[in-house]
Amino acid sequence: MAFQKRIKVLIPTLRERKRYIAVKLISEEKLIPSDVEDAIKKTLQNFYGDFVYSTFSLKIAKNLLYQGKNIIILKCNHLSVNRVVLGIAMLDRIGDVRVIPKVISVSGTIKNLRRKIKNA
Amino acid sequence: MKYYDLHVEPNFSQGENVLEEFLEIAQELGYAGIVFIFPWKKNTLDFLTAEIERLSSMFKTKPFLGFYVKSVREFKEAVKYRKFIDVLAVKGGDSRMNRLAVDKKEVDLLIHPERGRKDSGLNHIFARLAAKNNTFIELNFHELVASTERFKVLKKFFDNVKLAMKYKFNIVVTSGAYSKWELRDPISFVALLHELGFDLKTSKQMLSKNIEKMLKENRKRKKKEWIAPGVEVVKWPSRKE
Repeated sequence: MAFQKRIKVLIPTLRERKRYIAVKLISEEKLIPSDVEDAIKKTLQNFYGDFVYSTFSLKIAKNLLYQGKNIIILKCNHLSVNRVVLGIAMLDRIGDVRVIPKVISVSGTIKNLRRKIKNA
Repeated sequence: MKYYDLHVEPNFSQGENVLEEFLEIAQELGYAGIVFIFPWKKNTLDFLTAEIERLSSMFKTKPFLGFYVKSVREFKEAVKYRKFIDVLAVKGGDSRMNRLAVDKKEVDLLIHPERGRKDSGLNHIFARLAAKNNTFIELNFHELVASTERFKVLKKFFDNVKLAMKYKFNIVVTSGAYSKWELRDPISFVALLHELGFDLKTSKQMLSKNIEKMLKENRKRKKKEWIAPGVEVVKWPSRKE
């Protein structure tokens, strides 16, 4: 029997419940998308430390800065939404540019989140 | 939900930006109102009152006028003009001023009671008085963001929240912003209160309903009919016989 490279996907009951957080970055100057990703990760890691940060299962789901919007979508598990929101508020600068992060909405699916971003 | 920021210090005192810029950002962040807090000076009262009135029709976010006092002498002077001030705050840190803030009914807000101290600035006696006199105790978000030793600030926050849970006094998270870039989303303040130990409903209520109630009560003071807290002149309709 041939060895399978990819292992089977975890059954739904064992998977983590995910949440998507849309964050708008208010700034006067243009932001560099890669810098924003690094700054968010570093801020959260500094505030919570590696141990707690690892429990968030944090990922950058969509970076809409590439499309010219000042919005970034983060993905984390449902238990750590509050902590991620608080951690993001600690972000005050990206490089030399001063920013104010604003949480637009939190949702379970990207499709629903996009609808909320449009309405906001 | 209508959220309020109880402590913003604009350019007239120590901050950088003008009031309009603060209100623009606050409107974008979704605040229903922000309280501009200035250092107490008797001669600035008329000018600032006029300025706040001018701005209140320009933005969705309502501006409110507040003053802070740093000494007992300033407090005694400010109390005489209490009727014209939306929020009277006391700058804490010194234990004498912390005591004054929670002891007097005229004081609405105690600003950073923990600044420059090893303890949180409150004890069980202060907490009981704060609950009795309905004084809001501030958790200053600017202190947390700007501090190099955040764990110390957080420890003091946890201590004050522990007292607030037991003695049921009002606790409030404020931005404490000197510049418009230090304003923060009200949702992140709710998240902070929730992480400190309050449930989500109470956290939201602390930043909206409780403050709204206090501001409404203070605005009543400006009316002619107002005499003292809870005492007003009520005109009865004339009887037609």
